[in-house]
Amino acid sequence: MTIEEVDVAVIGAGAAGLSAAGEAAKLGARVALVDDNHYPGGQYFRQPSPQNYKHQNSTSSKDTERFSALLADIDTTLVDYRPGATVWDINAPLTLGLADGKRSCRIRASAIVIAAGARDYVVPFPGWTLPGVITAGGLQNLIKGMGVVPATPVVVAGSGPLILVAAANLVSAGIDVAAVVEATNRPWGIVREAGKLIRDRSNLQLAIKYLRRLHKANIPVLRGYGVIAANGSVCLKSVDIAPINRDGKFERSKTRQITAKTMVIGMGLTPSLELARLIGVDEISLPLRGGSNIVTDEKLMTSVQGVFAAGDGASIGGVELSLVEGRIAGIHAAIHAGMSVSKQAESTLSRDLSKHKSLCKFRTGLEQIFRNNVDWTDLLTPETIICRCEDVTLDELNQCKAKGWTSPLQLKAATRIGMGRCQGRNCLGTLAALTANPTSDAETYRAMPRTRQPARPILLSDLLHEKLADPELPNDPHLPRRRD
Amino acid sequence: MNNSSDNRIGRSPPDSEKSDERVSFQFNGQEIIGYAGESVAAALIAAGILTNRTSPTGMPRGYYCGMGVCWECIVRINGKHTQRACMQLLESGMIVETVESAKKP
Amino acid sequence: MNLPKVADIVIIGAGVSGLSVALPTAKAGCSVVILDKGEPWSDASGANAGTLSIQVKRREVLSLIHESIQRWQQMSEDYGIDVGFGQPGGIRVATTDAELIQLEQSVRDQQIEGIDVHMLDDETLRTMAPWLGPQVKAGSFCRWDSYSNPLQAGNAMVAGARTMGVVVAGGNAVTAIDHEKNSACGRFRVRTSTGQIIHARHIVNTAGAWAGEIASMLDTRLPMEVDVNMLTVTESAPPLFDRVVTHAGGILSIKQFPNGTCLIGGGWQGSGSVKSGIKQIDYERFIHNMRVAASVIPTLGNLHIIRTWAGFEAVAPDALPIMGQLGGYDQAWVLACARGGYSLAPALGARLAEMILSPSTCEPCPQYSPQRFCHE
Repeated sequence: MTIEEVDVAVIGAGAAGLSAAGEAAKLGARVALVDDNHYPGGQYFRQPSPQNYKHQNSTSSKDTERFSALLADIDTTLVDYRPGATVWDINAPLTLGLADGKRSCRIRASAIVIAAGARDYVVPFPGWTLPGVITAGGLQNLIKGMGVVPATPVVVAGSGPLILVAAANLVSAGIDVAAVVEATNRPWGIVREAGKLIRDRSNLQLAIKYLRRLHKANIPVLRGYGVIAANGSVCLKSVDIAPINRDGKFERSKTRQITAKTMVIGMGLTPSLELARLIGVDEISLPLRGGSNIVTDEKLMTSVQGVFAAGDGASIGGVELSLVEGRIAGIHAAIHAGMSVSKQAESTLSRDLSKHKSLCKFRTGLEQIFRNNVDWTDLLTPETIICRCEDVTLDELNQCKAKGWTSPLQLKAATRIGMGRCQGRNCLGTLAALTANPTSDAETYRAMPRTRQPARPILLSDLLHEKLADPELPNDPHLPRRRD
Repeated sequence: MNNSSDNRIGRSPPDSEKSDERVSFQFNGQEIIGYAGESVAAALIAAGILTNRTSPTGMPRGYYCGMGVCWECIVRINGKHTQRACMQLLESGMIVETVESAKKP
Repeated sequence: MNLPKVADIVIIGAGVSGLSVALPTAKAGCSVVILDKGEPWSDASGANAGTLSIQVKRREVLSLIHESIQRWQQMSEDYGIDVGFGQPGGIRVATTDAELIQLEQSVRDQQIEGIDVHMLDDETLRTMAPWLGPQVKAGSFCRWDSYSNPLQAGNAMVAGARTMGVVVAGGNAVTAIDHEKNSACGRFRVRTSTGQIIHARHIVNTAGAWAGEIASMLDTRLPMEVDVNMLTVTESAPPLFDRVVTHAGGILSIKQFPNGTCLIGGGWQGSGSVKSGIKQIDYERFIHNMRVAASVIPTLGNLHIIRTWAGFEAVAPDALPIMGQLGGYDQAWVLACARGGYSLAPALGARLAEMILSPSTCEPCPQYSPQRFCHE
């Protein structure tokens, strides 16, 4: 049985993963950089396909430059970059299982960096499954990655800074934005307050720039509003919005309707934790925003020896933080794998550690600005789909609860919630909220279905490329079987 | 025939000398033009097709997250059962079909 | 949950065996409490392919399995419980010459016992099952082979038991069992991890991989070995094959449910132990299981695997059920460690219920008695 050995395995080739791989390689580590996308860059540096593609996206020259620098750093024989490869298994000791449709193998590393990135934080509402309703990430991939315009008019809705980004990108691409509907209803004075906490003003300036762009284009920005329903039968036709009162509830008597063929919904991000959970790292849950983060020390090592975590896959922080964390984790992973630290790495570390501090402060500030007390479960009606894959409605869940099936595992068994192709990514968060233990987040988490292999769905035939000796049937001494 | 070059940003016009490679493919028997190397999802959306599958209770579904984690954009490609349209790169002659879910018993 | 202080029967282990004893005894009017250290149905019953196959059974249990399948089928009639039963018939395959010989012998043995099973000639096999891969050399067919949906059945049986007044209490491990010798009706005092005590007239040990631990509380030894089975479920697909598929070498079961998902039970083992409580997929052996599955039904290769998991299954050294009186006590019982305990549970449960309710008139089953291990 061949298992490939490397010094550092990096999972994810987004901002954090690319930085980590680059820094580790600079210290002489043999790196395996595994990503399931066909092109590097993850979400932030989502890039068009290389074939003859000349579209002008809204990438700044600063971004183009630093992305090129990231790619240059991994362009070395020390880095084995594997695009299109799904890491479906991770196990002690520091071993990944991956398959890419042509090869299936294991990689054993002396240190692993999990830079698996994030996905959209999901909040269901009536009509959210209609074709035409897409996530903020989905919009970015469409415009930035593929240069395709979504059907207009477009409404951008949700909560948090990312929807301003989405709206601004739409405007730059010349797309008709009917309205921006943002849930936060705190006064803009808070922005100034937050600004005082932040030394690195570049991100704040960017946020202000986005708002200016929207104002210039006369896009109505409705603050303190939320979408209460998406309407349509075969696809989206309009959205209903309502103001949010002081108690975080929707004032349905003041509902307005906006015609839309696309709705971009952005409720923030949450780290993709499947691999982290498989290897069993400690997490910390976040009451303020929901979801949880990976616990790491100052070297960005998790509670599992030799496993590091960086970027949005560990805790949401945006691209600047991801780049800094990627470097820190990459350097420490290489050191953990036995590489000697260089003078350059030492100075990178000291610079990045202080940057890390100020970026974390900015993040806290941003979270304060966009904090709201909205009760998102107030949106749900009995017909609202909770599990998109298996079409489980809120009503179905309530009926099962009435029959005495109240725990997440019982509801899963009774309705198949969480058992579809998305492996619960779009519904288990809501299930946790609907079955939450009011006194203990830890108990709520413990009651949820465990993460199991494969970390992402994997084609059965993709596993068959593995080079394994055929077992001696019927009784291979190395392969214990069920006694019959 | 659906020409999907209208809903694009920054592509060279189809009749210019430096135009990007356009390829044709089929969706449920209908011929559509897209660009080589873009995702099947992008080509479908650009052609105005927003629904690519039905859910277990017969609801229409389409592109949602664009990054391969929601599995809403699945289609059958060249007879292969469920392929995420947002992760599959378009090739000339691809036969793409809607996926009908097994009905919820 | 507050447990009753007294019960006619306390059952330890809320898997398929425990529930199969609870249902008939509750129906007969007994007050029944089922305790489980974790969630009901979470161990062997929860790591189960749901296969109800006669063909894969040992000769000794053939009549039992036939009866048991009928009880599975009648569970909705008998108790109002929908277990997602289906009887598509089953094909058992041989992929090597040695397996073929084994299969033919097995078919002969089963026919002698009156089982409606026969070898399929090649043409019939390929017509009935065009979805079988070329590596399949031969197959036998039994129209009684069936399945129940293991996930659905768990919830349904627990809910059904509760409707009949059975108290099903997860999160209550049994920490001590004392026999009250001086009590007029020979009571047991059962203590749980939540600090509660139940006085029981009868106790029934259906604790599966932990049956030995429970038996030791009554100073009795139950020898068993623990397998770690691996299960794999695919995404939903259009109907691909329409029979329950099992394997002459016992290394595979495959079925497709009405919701389109395919459940693969692998013969090669995961890793872990009861002691550590860890039950995990073993990478290499998992891939071997997938290989066998794809060679028997090649179209499975086109499906995405959504989940794979492992669970404990305890087996007696002779791979026969352990059922009967436990430890020399008149009112302590055991039902555990049957190879294929899931499929045999309704029949064994009914037998044991009879032993409990009418000890003088029911037929004993010495071949399953735990006494058979006392000579070791």
